Amino acid sequence: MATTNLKKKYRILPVAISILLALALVITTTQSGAQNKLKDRLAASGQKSSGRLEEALKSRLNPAPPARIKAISQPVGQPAGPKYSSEKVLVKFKPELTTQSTENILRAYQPRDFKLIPRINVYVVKIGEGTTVEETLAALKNNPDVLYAGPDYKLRLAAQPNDQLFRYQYALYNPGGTLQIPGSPTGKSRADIKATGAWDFAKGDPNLLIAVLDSGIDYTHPDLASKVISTGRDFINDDNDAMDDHWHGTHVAGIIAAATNNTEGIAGVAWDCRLLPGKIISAEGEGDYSDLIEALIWAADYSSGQAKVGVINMSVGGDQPDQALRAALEYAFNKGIVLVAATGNDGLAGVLYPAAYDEFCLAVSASDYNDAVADFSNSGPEVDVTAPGVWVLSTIPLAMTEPGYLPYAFASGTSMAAPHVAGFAALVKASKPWLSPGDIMKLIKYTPDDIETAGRDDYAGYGRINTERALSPFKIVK
Amino acid sequence: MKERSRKAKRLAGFLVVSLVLGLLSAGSQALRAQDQNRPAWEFGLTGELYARGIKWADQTSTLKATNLMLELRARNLGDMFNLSFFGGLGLPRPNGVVFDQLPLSLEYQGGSITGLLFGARAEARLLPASDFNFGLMAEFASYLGFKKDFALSGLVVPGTATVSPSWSQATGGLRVTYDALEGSQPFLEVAGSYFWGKFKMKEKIEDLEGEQTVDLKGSSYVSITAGWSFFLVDKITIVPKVRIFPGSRTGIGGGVSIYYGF
Repeated sequence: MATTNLKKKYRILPVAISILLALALVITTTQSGAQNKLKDRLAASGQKSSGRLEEALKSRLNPAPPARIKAISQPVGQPAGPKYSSEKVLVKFKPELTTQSTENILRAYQPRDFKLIPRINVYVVKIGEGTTVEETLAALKNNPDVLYAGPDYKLRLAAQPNDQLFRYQYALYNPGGTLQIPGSPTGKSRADIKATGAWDFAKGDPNLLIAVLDSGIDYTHPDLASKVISTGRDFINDDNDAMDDHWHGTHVAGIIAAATNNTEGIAGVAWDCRLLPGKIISAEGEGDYSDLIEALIWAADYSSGQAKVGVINMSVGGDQPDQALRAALEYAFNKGIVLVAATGNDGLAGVLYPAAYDEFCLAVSASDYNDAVADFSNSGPEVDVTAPGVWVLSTIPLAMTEPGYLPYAFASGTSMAAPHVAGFAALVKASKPWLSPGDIMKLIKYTPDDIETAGRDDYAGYGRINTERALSPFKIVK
Repeated sequence: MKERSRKAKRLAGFLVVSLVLGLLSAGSQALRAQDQNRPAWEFGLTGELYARGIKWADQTSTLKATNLMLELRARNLGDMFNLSFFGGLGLPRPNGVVFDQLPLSLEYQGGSITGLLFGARAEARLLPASDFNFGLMAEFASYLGFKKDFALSGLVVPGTATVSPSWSQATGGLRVTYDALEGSQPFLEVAGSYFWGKFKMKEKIEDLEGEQTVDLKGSSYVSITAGWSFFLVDKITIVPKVRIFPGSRTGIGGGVSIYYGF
């Protein structure tokens, strides 16, 4: 029965999951300081038609019956610690001994308790008071009746969230083989950001906010409602309601910090962090530098109780440098905020601003499920790192979700890559709050997996980010 | 096949132990040198191995070490005191210490770090009672590790970690000797033992730098040492001893010292 249901689901998926929202925001500027204009551009395809966008939004995830999707596991964050139990050892005696004699032997070691695991005749022994596992094992190993004595090793379960759609998020954990994303491409195993390994060491902090300066966030979305600290600020309409009337910001926000391990929807990179929306892009996908500049200052100064902005994501960009924009970035940077921006989706040499302000911003290009840099991703000497930005599943506004569909969609673009890095930066900042933004940027740059050509290059920068390498203790060996 | 090899190992072990005991026993019986008749100055060589529980922040590990020391001992000062100074090489292996305050957290698994070990020891014989003599002992030892560099391989840019550990140990307590034997003298020491140290780690990854010092402490505050001084000839003494540090993470060690009187 279950098999039949699954088959039915998979028949429907390739059609219904279809496609895309490949887009991103980009910015063309009419060089007049704060009057510069931000315009949206479609990401990978380079199509600009908003009609295509609407069409794309219709093809989204077919709702899979939740009852058929089982939780994968409970999260178990297991930081570095003892490799085995300090209270128990495992012992097996020679098979010719009777149970009575083996238990008599065990009692001679004055254990607190022991029990036999049947079938394989292994004893789990709680060691005596005042002794250690090492001493007990040394004594047992010297006993000629003991066939095997060893420590009771700790199990380690990677912190894997139970979100219903996590299996579609190859960017966080790429199992390799045929991926369950549109087109069913074959992915390279572990061409991902190693999020499950990193979550063993850091899940973020609710008081660390990630400001999403974009088209707003649908803060009523079930996978975001608990993660958005306030209705934010709308710089387009000059009010305090940054509801997303486009889709882009909600998609970006989900990648960064969708509610994770809530058995629903997707997982966000910054598991425990919260979001602050700043709307600088209109419903038509346009915006001005002045809104971005104002939003940067607002986000840098924002606080609510203990909560403060630690990271700002800007999946937007324009062609022109601007002194005021640079000054706003510097202001936020000097307030201890890590700034992350997309390089742009023209497939050309030339990183957009603000990403091109290398001293303040991490410039992020887009890679795919095979660790290849996407052909639409802009390149240049300012590219710092790359992150998955092809067929990335995330949240979309409820208002744009048709009845019968889940409010999630796939999209491609450096806009989708940057939020992976923003979430990563938030995990680092939450676990090491004393690090400066500059140090966090360096840590992110120096710990990736080198892809494309060896060493730093203008396409992938230093490589595809590896969150686990940066957040887990690096072993010093001979 | 395995059983036969195990038996052979056991037999070899038995033979070695018998040989050592035989030599010591023959030496002590044949030569019968008395403690008091031996020279006032002795030059010694000590080798020891031990594992001691250590803790830092909320973590624990075991510090294993090999020490090789030279010693100068003045005996029977005022018919009461022995005083010695020692120095040599220490090779502790502080594996398992985690430095989580660096930009990139590091876990040390790099093995032995050679360093200088030096210190002093005093023993006082205070209360003779029957065949026993009750006294006090105090010892202070310090280790200064040489800086050691490790390449952080696996990163996309060059990185190095530089370690430099140091520690000290102060021990003081009761010492009881049994003086009735000719040619040898067993002893037992029950002492308070305080261990403290610093393990400094410097990290440099391209232009990203960090430094952290982890404060180490012993997980045990007691040491119990049992040993036996064998006076092989008038001028040569050999002292095997074992030591345990009972506690939440019990440590154990042992060593041998050989002294030459002059």
